[in-house]
Amino acid sequence: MLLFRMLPLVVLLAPLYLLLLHARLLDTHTGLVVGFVTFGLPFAVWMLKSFIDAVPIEIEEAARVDGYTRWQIVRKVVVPLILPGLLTTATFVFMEAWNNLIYPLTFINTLEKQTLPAALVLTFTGQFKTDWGGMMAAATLTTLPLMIAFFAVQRSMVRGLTTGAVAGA
Amino acid sequence: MAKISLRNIEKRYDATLVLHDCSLDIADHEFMVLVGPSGSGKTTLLRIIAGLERVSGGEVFFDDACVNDVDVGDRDIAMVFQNYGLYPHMSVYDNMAFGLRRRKLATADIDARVRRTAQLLDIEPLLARRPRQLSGGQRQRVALGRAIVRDPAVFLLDEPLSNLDAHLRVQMRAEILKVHRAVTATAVYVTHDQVEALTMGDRIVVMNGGRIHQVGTPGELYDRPVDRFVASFIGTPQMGFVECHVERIADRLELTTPAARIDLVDRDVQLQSGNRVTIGIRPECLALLSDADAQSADVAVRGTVQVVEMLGAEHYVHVATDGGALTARVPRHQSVKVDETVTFAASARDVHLFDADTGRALR
Repeated sequence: MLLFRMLPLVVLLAPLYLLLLHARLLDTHTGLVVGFVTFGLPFAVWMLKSFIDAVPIEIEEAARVDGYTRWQIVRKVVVPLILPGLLTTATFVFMEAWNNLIYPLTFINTLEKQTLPAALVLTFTGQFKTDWGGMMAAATLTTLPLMIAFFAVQRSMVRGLTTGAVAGA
Repeated sequence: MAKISLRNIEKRYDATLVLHDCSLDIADHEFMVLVGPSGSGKTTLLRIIAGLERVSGGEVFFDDACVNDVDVGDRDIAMVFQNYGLYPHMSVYDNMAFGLRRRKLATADIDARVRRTAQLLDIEPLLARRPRQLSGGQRQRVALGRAIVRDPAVFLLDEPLSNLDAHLRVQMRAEILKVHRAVTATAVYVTHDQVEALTMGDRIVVMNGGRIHQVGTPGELYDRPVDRFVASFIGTPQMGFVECHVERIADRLELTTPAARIDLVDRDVQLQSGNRVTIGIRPECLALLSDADAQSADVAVRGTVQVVEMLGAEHYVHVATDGGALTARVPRHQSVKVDETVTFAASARDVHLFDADTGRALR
C-alpha cells in the first residue's frame, strides 16, 4: 500500500480523473474525498500498524480472558492505548489533505465547492494582476486550522514519534 | 471448583509438532505445576487449557464437559501472565474491576469484591495508581488480584515470578500458596524453576520436548524419577551420572567402571551381564571417605576434584570420574582441594539405575 506514496500525485491524477468522471463524482466533495483517501489511507494504515503492534499481546489476551469480544477489546483496550498514535496519524493525514492543491484544482470546477488553498490561487490571481496583499492575508488565515491542530496534539505527537510504544505493561 | 482432564493433546504449528500426545488429570482444588526447560511445551499446554490456543488433536475437559470449542471468555478461568499484562491506561482498581464489569455485576458488589481482594493482597493503598507507578512486586500482586477477584473455577499462572528478584520471588511464592488456600480454584502453574515446582506443587508435571515425562508429587519425582531427564532436572545441584557395565555374580549384581565399584543386592532389577547402565547418585547421598573405609561401602566412586563451590555451611564438590561427572555436598569441616583424588561412598538404595540407551529408570 505504501507503494502509492512513492508515486508523485500527478501520476494518479489522470486515472483518478477518469474514474471520477465515469462515477459522476467530478465537481463533488465526495469525489474529492475519494481522491484524498487514495494517499491518506495507506499512510494511516502503515503508521497505525506500528502503534498497534507495540501494544503487548498479553494485554489483549488478558481482556479475552476477562470475557471481552474482539471488538470490545479494540474499543476499550487497544484504542485508548494507541490514542497518541491515532492523533498523530490524524494530524498528518489532515495536513496532507488540507495542503493538497492539485486534486481540488483538477476535480472541482465550481469556486463555491473549492478548498481553501485552491480557492486562494483562483481568487487572488487574475489574468493581469495578482493581489499579493490579499493573498498573504488569506494564506495566513488558511494556516490557522493547521497550527491549531498541530499545537493541540503536539505533546502526544512527540511521544508518538519518539517512542511509539506503550508505557507500562 | 473444576477438575481438568487433557486427553491425547497434540499441537502443531505448521509442520512442527510441539506437543505430543499429552494426557493429564488435574483434581479439583489441586495446585498443579508444569515444569520443564524452555521450549518444552509447558506454556503451550497452559494456553490450551486457557483456550488461547486451539488443539490440533485431542480433547480438553472441564468437569467432564469438553471445552474444545468453548471460547476463552466463557471457560471461567483467570490467568496471570509472565509480563503481567495489566491494562496500562487503567488504575489498579479498574484493572481489577474490568472483568467484573463485563459480567454486569452491581457496582456495589464490584466495589466490595475489589476491596476485599485488595485487602487480601495488601494492595489497598495502590488502588488509585496506574500500573506504571508500581514496582515489579506490586504489579505482580495486582495481576494476581485481577485474577482472583473474579473467583474463577481455574486459575492459570504462566511463570508469574520470573520477572522478580530472588528475594521477592521467595516471598511471592508463599503469597501465591496463601492465596490458593484462601480461594477454592484449581490452579495450574507454569515454571522453568524446579525449586519453585518442588516447593509449590501438590503435584508436578515434568515436560521436555513437548512430552510429559512424569506426573507425581514432589517426593515421588525426587525419589523415583522415571527417566534420566526427570532425575537430572529435579534437584539442585543436579544428580550425577556414571556409565557402568553390569556383571552378575550369583545373586549379586556388580556394576563396574574403572573408577567405581557398586554392589547391588536385593533389587528386582532385570539386568544381564554385559548390559550397559547409567547410575545416578544425588549429591547429598555421597559421603567423603578414606580409601580404607570405602572398602566396606556398597558404592565407592573415585574421581578427581574439578571445582569446589563454597556455600557457607557446606561445599559442593564437582568430581570427574572416568564414567561421568558427580557432584557431592560435603560438610565444611572436611576440606577438599582442587585436583585432589577422592573417594565417595554411597548406600546402594540411594543409587538410581537408568538404561544407558533409552534413559528409562530400571526398577
